[in-house]
Amino acid sequence: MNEQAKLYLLASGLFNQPTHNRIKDLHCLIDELLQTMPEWEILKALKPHLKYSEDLETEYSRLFILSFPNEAVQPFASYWIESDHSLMGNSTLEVKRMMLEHGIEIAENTGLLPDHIVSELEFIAYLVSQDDEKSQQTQQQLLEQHCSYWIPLFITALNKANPIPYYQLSANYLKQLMIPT
Amino acid sequence: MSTHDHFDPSRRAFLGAATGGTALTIAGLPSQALARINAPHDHEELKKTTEVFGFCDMCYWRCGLKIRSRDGRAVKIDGNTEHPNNWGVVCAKGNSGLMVAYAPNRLKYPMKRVGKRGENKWKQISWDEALDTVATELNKAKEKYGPQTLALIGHGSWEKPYHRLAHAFGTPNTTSPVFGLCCGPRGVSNMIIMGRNLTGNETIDLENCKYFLMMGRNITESLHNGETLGWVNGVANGAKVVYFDPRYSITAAKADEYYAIRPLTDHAFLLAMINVVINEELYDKQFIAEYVVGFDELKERVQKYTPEWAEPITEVPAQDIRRLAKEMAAKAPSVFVYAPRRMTRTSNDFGTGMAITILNTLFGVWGRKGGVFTPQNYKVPEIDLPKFEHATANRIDVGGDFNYEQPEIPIAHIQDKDGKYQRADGAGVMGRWPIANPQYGLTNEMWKAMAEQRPYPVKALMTAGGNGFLNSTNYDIIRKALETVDFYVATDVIPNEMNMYADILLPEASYLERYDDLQVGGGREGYVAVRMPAMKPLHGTRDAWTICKQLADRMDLGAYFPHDSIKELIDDRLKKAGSSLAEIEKVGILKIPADPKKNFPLDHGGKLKIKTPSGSSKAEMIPGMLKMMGYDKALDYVEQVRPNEDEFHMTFGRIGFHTHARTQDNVWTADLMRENVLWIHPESAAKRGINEGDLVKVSDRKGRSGEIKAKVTIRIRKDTIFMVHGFGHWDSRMTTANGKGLADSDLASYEVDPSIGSMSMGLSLVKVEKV
Repeated sequence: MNEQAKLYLLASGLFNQPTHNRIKDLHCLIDELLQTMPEWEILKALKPHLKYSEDLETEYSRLFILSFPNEAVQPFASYWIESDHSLMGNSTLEVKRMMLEHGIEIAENTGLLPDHIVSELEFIAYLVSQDDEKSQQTQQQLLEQHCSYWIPLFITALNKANPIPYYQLSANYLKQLMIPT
Repeated sequence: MSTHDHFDPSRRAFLGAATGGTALTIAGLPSQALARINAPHDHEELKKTTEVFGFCDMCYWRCGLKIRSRDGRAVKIDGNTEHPNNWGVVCAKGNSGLMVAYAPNRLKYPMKRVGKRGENKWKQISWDEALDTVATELNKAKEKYGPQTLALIGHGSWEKPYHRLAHAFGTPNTTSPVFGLCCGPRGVSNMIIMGRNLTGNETIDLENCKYFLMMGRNITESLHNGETLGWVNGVANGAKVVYFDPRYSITAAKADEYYAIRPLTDHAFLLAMINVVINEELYDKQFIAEYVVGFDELKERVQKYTPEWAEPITEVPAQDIRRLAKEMAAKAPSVFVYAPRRMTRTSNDFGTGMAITILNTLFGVWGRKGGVFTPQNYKVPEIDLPKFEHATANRIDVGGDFNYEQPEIPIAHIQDKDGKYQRADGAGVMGRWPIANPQYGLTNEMWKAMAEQRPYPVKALMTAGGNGFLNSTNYDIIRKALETVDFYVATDVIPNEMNMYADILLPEASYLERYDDLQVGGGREGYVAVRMPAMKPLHGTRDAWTICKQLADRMDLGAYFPHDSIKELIDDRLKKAGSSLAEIEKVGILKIPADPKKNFPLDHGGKLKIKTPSGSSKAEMIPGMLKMMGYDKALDYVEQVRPNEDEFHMTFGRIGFHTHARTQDNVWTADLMRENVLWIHPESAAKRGINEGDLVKVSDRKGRSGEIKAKVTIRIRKDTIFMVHGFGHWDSRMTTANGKGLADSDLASYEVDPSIGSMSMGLSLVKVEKV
């Protein structure tokens, strides 16, 4: 897997439920990335925050599942793209189709939709790791015609929700990764 | 995609190729825990449009549906033209059902409370952890206090498996708001006088009715498709509509005559009608002679209720009362006195309900064309289960909804002479609320039992849908109950103020994503209908039956859920009825054809079969059961509260596109009405300097208050205000509904009907001032 794929995989993991094992794995992944990309300050900033705690899980739930005390940070593309904020909109199906074209689907019992930020980022990681033109085309299409629309909205909402440093940095990381300056 | 969180470098990495079986291993990447995607077997979900059958869950009428799906998602809801609850019609709420499944705010994963109760701090947990915790905590409560310590409150979804689970657990304390907070008074009135229920899907021959006397039955806004359609057809066929309501509703606008009756005084008007019908011999003499007892006593009893007596109370002119009685008699038996849908308003709703039943009976409407038809029932046996040790007998066993066979023992005893636990809410319990239906219970009293821990400890709570706050009243009691119980597990599709207090929150699949137990109904045609999933459950949700089955298995109650899946259960039941799941899935509904001889026996030389709870084979105008218990005083009028000069009657009701407090966060229904407003008469508004759109403060005599925008309109009495029910949510998880409008439930009164224990929500008197 190339470095770029790992970067997307890291992004996916950061927005996934922060279980003990996942945090441990993210730690390993960041260490790997820092070996080859020591200049990425955001990775260095993130590393000390990769510690499991119940507060982190609570914050994850607050931000992305059901609390929304001041801002809905819905992790679904469809929420931001569809005019009525519905999930499973056409935008979800577009992503699902793209995945299927590459032989990928969301496994049962994971509780994720195709356009959940975790699914999309991991799909991009997959595409980036492939060495064929079709994958590059899909990646470009997904990033330019889909992610570029909703990821900035998601990041803005996340920042407005006054998240703990872990998610402030994760938002910053996602911004650096996904939004060209 | 893995559900494991274990690091296993020997396993395939997070991605795999779909074809050729070549796993793509990612060197150095340690993480199956990161993996969320894996390879499919094929592209099976990208299929053309499919169609399944179901029945709606957006309100309690349960219309038959056909749901079209494409690419693995439900895309269109239509009505099942064969279903007698709607004949193919779907309302705005029904169409918005898709947004229950696709709601961004719906409950998605099992959650564990990590903050204080009601603080809304959660942690996502696995289903195994959630179910293990629930089973452990419920068993712990059972061990300490006995099985009766569990209360189940269900409302809003197909809650049957939860009741079964609770009964299997051993508690009698299962309840639904339908009796104490909604239809109880009219249900029990028809039952105790006629031995008939006449709630739920009412068996009224609307199409052929020639005269509707509608006591606040706002059928065009508190609407159910089949019922409203029947009424519209009745009107189109020439029926006269006389409508009574302090507010000029849409139904009032469609009526031939409208009376802005003084709030809470319907009973006085009805007693005067009975007086005229009896004294002027306008009743159906043959029907009374053949099917009624207690007529003479009734006659004597209503002599004092003359139209002249009623006029100053109701503000309905005496001469009009006489005329209406004569007009109705001229059209009888194709007439109907229509009770309001929710009848928990006055301090004597039971009396009002009985007056309606009596008046209908005097006109001989039962079993007659244009009156009340006798339904047919599709017999689908229940599955064979071990006996429930303490649950109240079910309705099939007692031949009706109301079981009066209660032992006479002191309240302090929690078990009767047979060792069965008495209900904590007192429904059906001698010395408490013996007339209240123990099948549904008194939800309002159950909250009180939990808050006060009387008559015995109720320490565990399970809710299946519902919203104790916005669907009831007296928030202090609800809050105290939720804070007092040792353990609270909530299951629902959507978040709300009540399940915000849960210790464990279980996310249910929506009605578009699951099979459910069969819908068995009785209309002119008897029917059984199926609910099929139009798509797979989204997120981490599970259907109600599976949740209950998995809990039962963990609590050694698996014998009560003997099937491996809900599909097997449905198939089992249908096979006992001579059909099968495969057969019903083709059509959605199986029916017994309408039979005029059975539906309208009195028009075809047949007889009416009556069996009242006291065993009478005739309708009891003065029910013997009541006299025996000393409750017959409810037949008489009870003076209702009157507002002071600066006060108003507080009224509330429904609108055609919202159901209770369940749809305000649905983006599609919210598009039609996002917040409620306060209806106030222009003269009353002017006195207070209130203009259209002004923010006003509404305060009651108990010190409760809230703010809402004013709608200044002549469509309401000067002494009355009105707001649409279900608004005023404060759960931050409901991002669409949160903070919109005012909750009527926090202003409605919480006195109870002294005869049956249902709530008297309309007794609240409020002041209004400009903010």
